Amino acid sequence: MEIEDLEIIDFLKSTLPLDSATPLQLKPLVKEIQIAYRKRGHVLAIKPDFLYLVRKGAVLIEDENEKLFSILSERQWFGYNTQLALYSHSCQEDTLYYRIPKKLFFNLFDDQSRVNHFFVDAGLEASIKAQNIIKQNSLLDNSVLSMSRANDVYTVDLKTSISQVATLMSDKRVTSVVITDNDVLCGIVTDRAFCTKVAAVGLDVSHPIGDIMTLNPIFIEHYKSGIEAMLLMAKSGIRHLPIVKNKQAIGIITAADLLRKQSHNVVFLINEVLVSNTIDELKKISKQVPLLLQHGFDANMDEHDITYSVSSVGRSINQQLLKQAEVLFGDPPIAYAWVVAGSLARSEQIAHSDQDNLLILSDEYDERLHGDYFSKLAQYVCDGLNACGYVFCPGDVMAINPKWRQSVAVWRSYFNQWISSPDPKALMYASIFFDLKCIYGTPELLKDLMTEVFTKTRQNTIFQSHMAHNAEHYKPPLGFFRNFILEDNGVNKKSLNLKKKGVVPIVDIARVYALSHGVRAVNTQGRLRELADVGGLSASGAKELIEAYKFINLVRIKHQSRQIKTNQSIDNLVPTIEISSLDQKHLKDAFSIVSNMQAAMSSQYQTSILL
Amino acid sequence: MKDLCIVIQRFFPKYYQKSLLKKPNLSKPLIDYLSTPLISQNTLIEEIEFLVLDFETTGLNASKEKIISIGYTVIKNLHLLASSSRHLLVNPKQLLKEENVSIHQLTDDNLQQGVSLQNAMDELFSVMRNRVVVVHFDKIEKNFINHACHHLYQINRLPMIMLDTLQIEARKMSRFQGYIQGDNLRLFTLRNKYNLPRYKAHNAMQDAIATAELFLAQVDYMGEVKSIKLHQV
Repeated sequence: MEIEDLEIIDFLKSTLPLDSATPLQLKPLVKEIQIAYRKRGHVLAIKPDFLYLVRKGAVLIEDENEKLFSILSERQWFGYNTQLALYSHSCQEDTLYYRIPKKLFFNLFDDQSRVNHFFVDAGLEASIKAQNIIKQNSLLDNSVLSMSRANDVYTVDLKTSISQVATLMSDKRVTSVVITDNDVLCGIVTDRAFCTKVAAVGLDVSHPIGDIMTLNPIFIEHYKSGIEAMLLMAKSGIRHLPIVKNKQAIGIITAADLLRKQSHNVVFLINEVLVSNTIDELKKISKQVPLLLQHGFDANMDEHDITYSVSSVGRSINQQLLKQAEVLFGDPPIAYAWVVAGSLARSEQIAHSDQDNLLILSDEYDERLHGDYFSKLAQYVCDGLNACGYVFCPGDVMAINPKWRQSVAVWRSYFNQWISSPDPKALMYASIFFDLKCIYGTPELLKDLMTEVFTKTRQNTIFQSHMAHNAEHYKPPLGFFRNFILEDNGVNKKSLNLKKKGVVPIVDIARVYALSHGVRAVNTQGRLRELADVGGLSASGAKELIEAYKFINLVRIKHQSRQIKTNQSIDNLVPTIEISSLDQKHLKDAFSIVSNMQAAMSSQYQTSILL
Repeated sequence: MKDLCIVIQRFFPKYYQKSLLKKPNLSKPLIDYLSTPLISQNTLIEEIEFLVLDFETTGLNASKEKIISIGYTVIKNLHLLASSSRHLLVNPKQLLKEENVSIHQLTDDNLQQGVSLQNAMDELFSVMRNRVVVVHFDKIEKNFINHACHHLYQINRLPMIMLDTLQIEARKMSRFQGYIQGDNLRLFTLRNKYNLPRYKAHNAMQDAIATAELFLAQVDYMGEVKSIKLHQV
């Protein structure tokens, strides 16, 4: 009987993130474990040198104002974040817990391991470790030198006059210069010095610059990373750092340079998209999209803001491809609207998904005259999207399909057909083609068409009933006894499908109510909010559904963010082992809300008469 | 005369320990053990190291049955140190009774690889030194230790401080309820009562850890742990 045969090891193996640890790592780990017990109500003394794990029971964490911060249950860790150690940790139940010396623990798992990342994710405060994550995947990993605007470093001798330096800085439009004494770096002058040390005290500008420079400035070696520069700036409260190689200033890096280089910044990505001229360039930028999601999650961004950012980049890639196509094939002969459908239309993309798009052409459309142009345009854009990771739609809902590249009149007849004879296929199309957004061309073509369509859907209660019935297809994965109904994710892990069984039912409910109340918003949360305003849903019902949507989506984003970090392919099947017990409880609550809402919808739209 | 001996053993443990040291053929670990005074009853429990012990035996009667395995773990600063946990197989030099095999999952073959009783006891003496022993239901461990000491060294009663988690609970129950039902004091039941996890395995080391966790829980329930002294437990 060896220590590794103990049940502790089974427990550790089934505790995140140690499920990824090797037996060789677990064996020494078990030996380091110390076990303690505190009864309910007792406050735990958190020692900074230890990592803690709840074995049984529950630990309540409250901040200095006694505001609830978190409740931890079995298999959850605490004490990893030193900032949180100051918070009060008390036993909410009788609690058996393990503690492990941090030094030994982290010696077993290197910086790159999932175990290490796990604790960084878990840390809610922006700790230095959290910044390491950004460092790995963004341009901040690059050396400071590559990030500075290279030709921006100006070096002057300390005897140069203040006025000469001022002229130079103004001419070259720089905010700082490096000062040397016999070619050796000795100081720095920033624009601020001209304010505080010259103008404010009325100093004669013929004085040498050495009089106002900051002596022996803090500098950074050329090979250091952007993140180190950022930390150094934060620590010292400065915004300019000379970059030094062999004691010579070879560049200067500013806080603004670093900000601009944060590749996960959505503004940065869209800017890059807007200046790209080829599909290849777009392809490179598009690779950053998953990081946008991951960093958004790491930075505790709101779920809505994350999906909105990801969708914005998707939209701008569409737009840029169309611009490129118009350059290649010439100006369009007639007005057209490039319309996207699905999650992109709803601004709910969380990663690269299939492309769904269509073309609405003005009624001047004549296939013999214009067919070739729009066929080529559609081909270019759809191919481009496919290359960028927005793969071809398996259902063929794309503008390269002639059926979905039609004049307003033809589209009108399509909609009339779906609304008046809602067979299963029509309903499937309806659920796709009621989430539309024109992102390029002449938006009025779509807008006017949809105004007609919405007038019809509002009046046609039979169509509404069919749509409602269709929206009951996917049910939340909650069993009779509030147990999860799990699916296999392919590697034998019991999982929850948080797209089909989680988000989709809510999206469908929101669409049905939007159609029947003439709500024109396309985003699910937007639809629910507007529905509450026009009385289509009760304010509290809409609010609950939004909260449920946000929570389910956040768990899904967390899952995908973890997959991105570990270079796995992204899916929507979240193994329950990844979900903390508290989150599982909240998920069940969220699913119950959705189930109740589906039931309410069934009775309201009398879907049972359709059976 | 016999009564006097018991009085000395009870009330003058130091003299008793010294008198035992005069016995012939004592092993080095036993001499070390007997040369170390027992922990004072006024020591704060926070400062005491506890050796939590569990024996698997072939039966209840110490004079007829044998120890087949010993599991133990150490509590220091009221933290169980997993690294201190050990499991020793003891070769009883006799065939096992069949019915026990299924409970302990130890077969004769396993036990043939075990250490001799003398070696096992020597290891026990060295880990018991300077520590308070904790067991669940002390009849087994106390009787088997004393019987082994008698058998090996003609010592009838080994000086030691042994706490029993079963008795701790029984005392507490009788204080609050006035009566005790036998089944309520089983290790499994008591662990449940203190919200401790359920263990599947049934072997000496796992049971020693289970007992140690129960002991930590009982101590925490006694009040402000920092001020509790040994005699209060």
